[in-house]
Amino acid sequence: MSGMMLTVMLVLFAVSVPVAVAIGLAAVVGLAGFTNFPLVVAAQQLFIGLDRFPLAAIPFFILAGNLMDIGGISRRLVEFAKSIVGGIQGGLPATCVLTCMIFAAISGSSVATTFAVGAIMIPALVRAGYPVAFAAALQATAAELGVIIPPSIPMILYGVSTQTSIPELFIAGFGPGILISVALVTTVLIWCRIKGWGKNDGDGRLPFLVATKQAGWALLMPVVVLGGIYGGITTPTEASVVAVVYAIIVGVFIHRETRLLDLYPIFKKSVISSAVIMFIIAAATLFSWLLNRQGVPDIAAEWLVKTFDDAHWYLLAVNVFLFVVGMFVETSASIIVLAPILAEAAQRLGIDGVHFGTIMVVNLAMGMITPPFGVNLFAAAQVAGTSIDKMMRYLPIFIGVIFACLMVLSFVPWITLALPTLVFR
Amino acid sequence: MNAINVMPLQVTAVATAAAVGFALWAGHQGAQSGGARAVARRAVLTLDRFTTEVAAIIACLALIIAVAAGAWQVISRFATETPSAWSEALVRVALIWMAYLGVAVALRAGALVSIDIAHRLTSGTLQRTIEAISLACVLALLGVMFWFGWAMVERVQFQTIAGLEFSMAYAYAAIPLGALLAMVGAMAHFLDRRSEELENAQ
Repeated sequence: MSGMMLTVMLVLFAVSVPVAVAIGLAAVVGLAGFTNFPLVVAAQQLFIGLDRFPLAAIPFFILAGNLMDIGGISRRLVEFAKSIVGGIQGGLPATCVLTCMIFAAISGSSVATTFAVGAIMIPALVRAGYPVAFAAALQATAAELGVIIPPSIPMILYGVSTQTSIPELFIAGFGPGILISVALVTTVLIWCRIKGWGKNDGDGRLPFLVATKQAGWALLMPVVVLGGIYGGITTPTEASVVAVVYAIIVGVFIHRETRLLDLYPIFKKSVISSAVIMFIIAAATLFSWLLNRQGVPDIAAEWLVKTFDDAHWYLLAVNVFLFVVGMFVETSASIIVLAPILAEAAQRLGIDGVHFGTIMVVNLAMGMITPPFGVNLFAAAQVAGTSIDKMMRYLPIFIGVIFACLMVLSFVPWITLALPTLVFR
Repeated sequence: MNAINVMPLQVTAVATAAAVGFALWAGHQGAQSGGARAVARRAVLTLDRFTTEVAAIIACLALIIAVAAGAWQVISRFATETPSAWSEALVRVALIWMAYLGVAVALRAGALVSIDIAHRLTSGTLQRTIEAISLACVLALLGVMFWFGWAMVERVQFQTIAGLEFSMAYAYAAIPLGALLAMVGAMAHFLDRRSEELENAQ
């Protein structure tokens, strides 16, 4: 039966049926064709799948991100990042990475980061003489930080579907986020030296203090949100509500760049984005529930443990497997369906749940820049007005850097676990 | 297969086939020039403009209610140090409404994520066939959600939501109602294709 469900799902994926519908329909086929359940349980699971308070953080963080973006935040953050790293040769690509890193602490999504930062950075890079496809490839790659540095929608999903602490996952994202940022900055600086790009990148940047003052309210937001979580004051969901309220207050009353009339389109856009992802979550919950009823996770975990028998080989195999999955499948669905299975085996092999979750999120984030299905690539190509084919000239190096970071993260657990251990254990 | 499922599934299958047939007929290229096809197409699009806007407004209101209830929860915890019992439940119910009515808006906008390689690589009749298959799948799933969502509403009408004083049926009603509005949105999207997948991807 699980084979049948998988086949239906993959066939529907292949003919361009929306991901949520393909998963939901595959589950309905499995439920109606191979079990004796009445189909009302499908409706029940579609309800229960969303009836979980931690998931409420997803629409709230999406809304907060959209509100901050319209409130002129990204432009201020770019100026701030530029005032720090913009002065050297290759300073603009480095600014792009640093801005994505800071924006990631406000946004939980990498596509949102691509649009928000890319709309400013890609034209700036092109004006400074960088090839368009290079700018787009860099932006798509750096935007991955959006889901690695907290808040992060994939981490919320991993936490909910494997009963792992979301605050621990969030704080564990900092180490990998910083590692990847440093690796990307180093890569672009060397690249610019070799190609002779960006000798005048420092032109027209603001003094550090001016830029900091301008970006102050934006920079304070992650402090308020994460401070609430780690000060033990709010749950992640409550922190996401604080983020929304903060974004409205800053946008409407302090920066005065958001008018109240602008709020309806922002809410509507947030509703659509949230509904898209929540529909996938609901359908994947139904699918995963059905697999669970058949005992699939247990059987699969047992097989995985017997086959790999060693944490290192298992991590290597999982990384290769998820790399392939990430090329074709959407992130949220992969996490909800695969995380319970893979994390169960990881736990039996003695791998820390928070560490494993971070590896999974970083790996699937890489899936956002691997063709043929890479949402960041589509987004960056659209912002830059170029094609993914042209970006392919520069992408392999970026993907290689991320993959190298992933290997380091997989086999040097303390980069991920130092902060959660310090704060929680 | 459980016998209870047979009749609803048969009805859903027949209705889906009929709806897709109708959409193919109304959306055929001759439709722009007038006649019964154009009237049918315009009727669907007019109906959709109304239903999708209603869905969008309710979904936005639900999101506002969720934000307000969440904010109240944070404030009340600070002020009284006892979290209010109803706010968390209200956030969950409001967001379920937002999600299922939002699906209707998303379907109309073509915003649902799909792995659209096949759609991008094809053109003409083949591409239209792929779109029709997609429509059939969407309508079939929505049909199941409508029928059995409604059955679920009837089943839970005497249960109350913990923390809130109203019937669970009001929460579950989001699924069949959202599915109904989404069917119109999906038809309209097939007849007048928009593609805002990326603008709204997360």
